[in-house]
Amino acid sequence: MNIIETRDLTHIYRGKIKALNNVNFAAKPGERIAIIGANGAGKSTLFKHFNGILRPTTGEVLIKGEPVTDRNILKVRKTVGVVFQDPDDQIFAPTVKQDVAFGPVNLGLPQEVVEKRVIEALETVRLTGFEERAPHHLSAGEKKKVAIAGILAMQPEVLVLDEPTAGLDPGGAMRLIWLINEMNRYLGITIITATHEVDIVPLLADRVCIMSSGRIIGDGSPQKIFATDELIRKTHLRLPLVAQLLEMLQDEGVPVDVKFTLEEARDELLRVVKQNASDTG
Amino acid sequence: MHLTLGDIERETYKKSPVHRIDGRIKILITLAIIIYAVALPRADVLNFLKLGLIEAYLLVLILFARLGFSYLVFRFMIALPFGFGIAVFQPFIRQPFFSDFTVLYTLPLGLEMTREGMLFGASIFAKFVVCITAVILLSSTTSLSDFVASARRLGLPKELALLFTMMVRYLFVFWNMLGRIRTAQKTRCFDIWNKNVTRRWTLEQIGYTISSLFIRSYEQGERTYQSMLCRGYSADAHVYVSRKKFSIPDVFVLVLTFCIIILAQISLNFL
Repeated sequence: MNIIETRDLTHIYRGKIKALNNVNFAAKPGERIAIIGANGAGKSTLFKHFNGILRPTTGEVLIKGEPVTDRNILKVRKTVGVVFQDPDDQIFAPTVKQDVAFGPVNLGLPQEVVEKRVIEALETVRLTGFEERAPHHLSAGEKKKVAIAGILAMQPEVLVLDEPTAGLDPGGAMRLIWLINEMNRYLGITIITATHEVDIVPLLADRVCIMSSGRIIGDGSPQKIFATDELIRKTHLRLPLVAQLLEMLQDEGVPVDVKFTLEEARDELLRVVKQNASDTG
Repeated sequence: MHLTLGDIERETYKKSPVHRIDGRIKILITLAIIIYAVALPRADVLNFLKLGLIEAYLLVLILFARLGFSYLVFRFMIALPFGFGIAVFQPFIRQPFFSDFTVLYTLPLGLEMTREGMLFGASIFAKFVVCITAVILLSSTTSLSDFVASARRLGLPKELALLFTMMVRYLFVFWNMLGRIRTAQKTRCFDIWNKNVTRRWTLEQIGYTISSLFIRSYEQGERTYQSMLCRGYSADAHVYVSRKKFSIPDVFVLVLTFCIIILAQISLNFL
């Protein structure tokens, strides 16, 4: 069964602006999906439907097969956790501990369970010892992790992340990607990420959905999506830098295949170099 | 239904003959009507006719401005209880500026309803309604930025104009910020009617939200001030306001309003 499914989902803001147009999307448990698209493509609007912050103008959203209604909204928000782009929008309590406890307390969990969840969530994001710190004294990367811990403490089955690496330094971004993948691998959490940083897409997702003007116009593996030049151009995105380099080498007549991650590109170049050496040797 | 800053802003961007009137004229008209309404006698039956004429004129302008009906009703509903709250006690109070009182009804607990008090209370309410209508008309047909520029053209000191300009800019920034914070809280199942948590805990969270907005506004203030300094801001800096000439319809509306006020004052005195 799909954990999230949208059927002909259309959303019109203020009766005028069509932000989503007949979106059919489905995510299976444990999948890692990246939704890419330029600013204003409808990614954030789609995300806000996944946990009932926005309701469809037409069409429907199903979470574990059940349509989102006022009755099951708590269950939906417990199942699907959304981490917003700016952690300052999420973190508002005076201490990290109080902020991470906010969700579990709202769910009505007993004090000792809340304490346990806070400790576990902070441990998962490697922020043990930060419990009493004031959020405005944290770095951007730490704030992001606190925001994720605040959602993790609700033990969601799906983690939806809006531009997770925005505003982070390269080291911080890589550590966060590693952390997200770890949550998928060891906790079995389904990961859905919105981003326009194409370089991180192959690292974060096995499946890519490409959005443009409120529609999903492409859906497949990163290899398949990035191989369709027309789609990439249409959405004002670009190929990952390693893929661009390999394409340039192809144009120069070097017999390489285009790859999308650093490791794949390294293996491909090594293959060509070794083949070249054996041909000339 | 609820009203947001965005709803008020959307009304100000509508296109109508009233929206097109120069902001200075609208400010002057509003001030003139408020001063006239407030300056009317404390208790006089004629007040109602005079204020009724002005109110009718304002309603015609509102009709021309094509403002949304539910929007108008909601804005009145927010303001009117304040005026009503002040007016409703007046019939039972012996105001020091009246020397004679005519008791209309005697109620239990020694309460007496006087004719003078009733007239005074009703006058306050009528004045309040007219003033509120004028303010709603001004604020629904003039964008905040146009309002500041118009006030500056009318001679508002530049320090106040700068404060207003920044308030207009950051009011929306912080309104949006509050919206995003509330969305993030909803994501984590926060609801002020949630029965899973104590009322005290809910109030604490609301307090934290407000204090976090204060911290963020303080930080934003620091950043904005530094970026202003980087662009050469000093105590002598000016707020740029372009020059603008009055059009014939502008002058017509100004003259018409003053004629209506004079008409209300003079002709109704002869009744």
